[in-house]
Amino acid sequence: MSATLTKDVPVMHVDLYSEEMIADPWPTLRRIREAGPVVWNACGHWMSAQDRVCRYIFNHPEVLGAEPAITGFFGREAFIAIDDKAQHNALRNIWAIAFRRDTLQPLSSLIRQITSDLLDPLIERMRAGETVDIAADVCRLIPAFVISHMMGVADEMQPSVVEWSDAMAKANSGGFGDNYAATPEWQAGERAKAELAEFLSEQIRHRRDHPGEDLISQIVHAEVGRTLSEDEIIINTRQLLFAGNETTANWLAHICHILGQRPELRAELDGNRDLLPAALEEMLRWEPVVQVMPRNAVGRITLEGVEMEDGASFTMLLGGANRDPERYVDPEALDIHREPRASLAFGYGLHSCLGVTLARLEAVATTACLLDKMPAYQIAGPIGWTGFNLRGPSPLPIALA
Amino acid sequence: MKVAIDRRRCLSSGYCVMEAPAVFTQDEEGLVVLLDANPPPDQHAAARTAEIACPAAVITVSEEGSNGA
Repeated sequence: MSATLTKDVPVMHVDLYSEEMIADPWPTLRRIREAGPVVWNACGHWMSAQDRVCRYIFNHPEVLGAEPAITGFFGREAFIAIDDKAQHNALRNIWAIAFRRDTLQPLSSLIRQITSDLLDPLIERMRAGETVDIAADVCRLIPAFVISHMMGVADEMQPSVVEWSDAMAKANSGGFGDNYAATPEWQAGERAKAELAEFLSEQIRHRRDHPGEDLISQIVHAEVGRTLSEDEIIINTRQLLFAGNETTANWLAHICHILGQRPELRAELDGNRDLLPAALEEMLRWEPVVQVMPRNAVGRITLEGVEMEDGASFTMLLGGANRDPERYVDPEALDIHREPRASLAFGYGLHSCLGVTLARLEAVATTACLLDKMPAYQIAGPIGWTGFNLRGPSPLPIALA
Repeated sequence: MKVAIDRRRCLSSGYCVMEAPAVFTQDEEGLVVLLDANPPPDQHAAARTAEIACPAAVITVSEEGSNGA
């Protein structure tokens, strides 16, 4: 897409998906943020790494909409992060009670138990001198277990849940260019989506006659659910499973990474568990999992004095916004004692994360268990990164200190 | 009943306004605004639901006095 540039608009050429960017995006995000509120990326889209601008965009879907920016892969009926219209709230409300604090609280002990069961064999291997990948062997599995449990999916299906969800994440990791649909990653993602849809279709059919307390039963039997086609239910359920998997897994991995690098921070948290919620929230501000949030201009629009044509692509860079000095004092520093303010890690407004309470519960319960059981450890080898759109360390090799 | 909010951590989800529109609203930036810090009894249930529904956990509802139930 070409753009007629107003003369004062800053132009940069940033490959958001280069290896350097994925490994260390912070210097580039800072340059974008400092270049101006809205920057033209010569790769073909507008972008902003400023907190104020991103907050405005989140709040004004009538200016920059999530449809059709995200619909391509997930299907246009998917409500999470996508549907800006009336049905969004009706769909979100089906699961709103399930994701409330009072409903979720009983899961806390279950999550600690799962974490404990995963950590025991891992620690044994570490004591034997092995270097282990805590991202794959612990962080990745906890949210898969939890969301499967909530959806009433049988335990033996969890490896498939992880596999499907990871393939979908890879297809969405970005940077494939215009011929993305021909890449093996995209095709594997499409295959995973189809297999998962088939599995969910069976689950949905079963729940029609055998309603339970689980999230699939809730959408099948909800008043609005009865007006939905089976395809619409599949699309929404599939997206719920995906959203509940990839994001939290990467947050947990960031936490393990940070704690492995900062023994003094670990000791402080160990001494005062009440610090955990604020500390984990600060880690997510500093290293948010969702780095990219795409939007498209709805009609011809003007943003920050810049004219954009109908349908123009816009990329919110949430990691950049989360280190904006206009909002945070000394933003590049990880400071667990800073004044609590909502970062954009869970989005904002209409599409703020449905699962935020569950994610926080998982993070606190998992970290508490890690602090209880894991001896002092360190990062033991080069780490990899999942990608830029959903960014987290993986593999994350660790060994006893 | 006394209602308090922490606007600094508000995620602007709008859940509180859906649950208790007589007690909460949102400003033009989407941040929660408290309309009534001492809501009348017919709003108590809605205010409590808003408290637990808020995904950002920024609403605190406390009972005050013996007539607050």
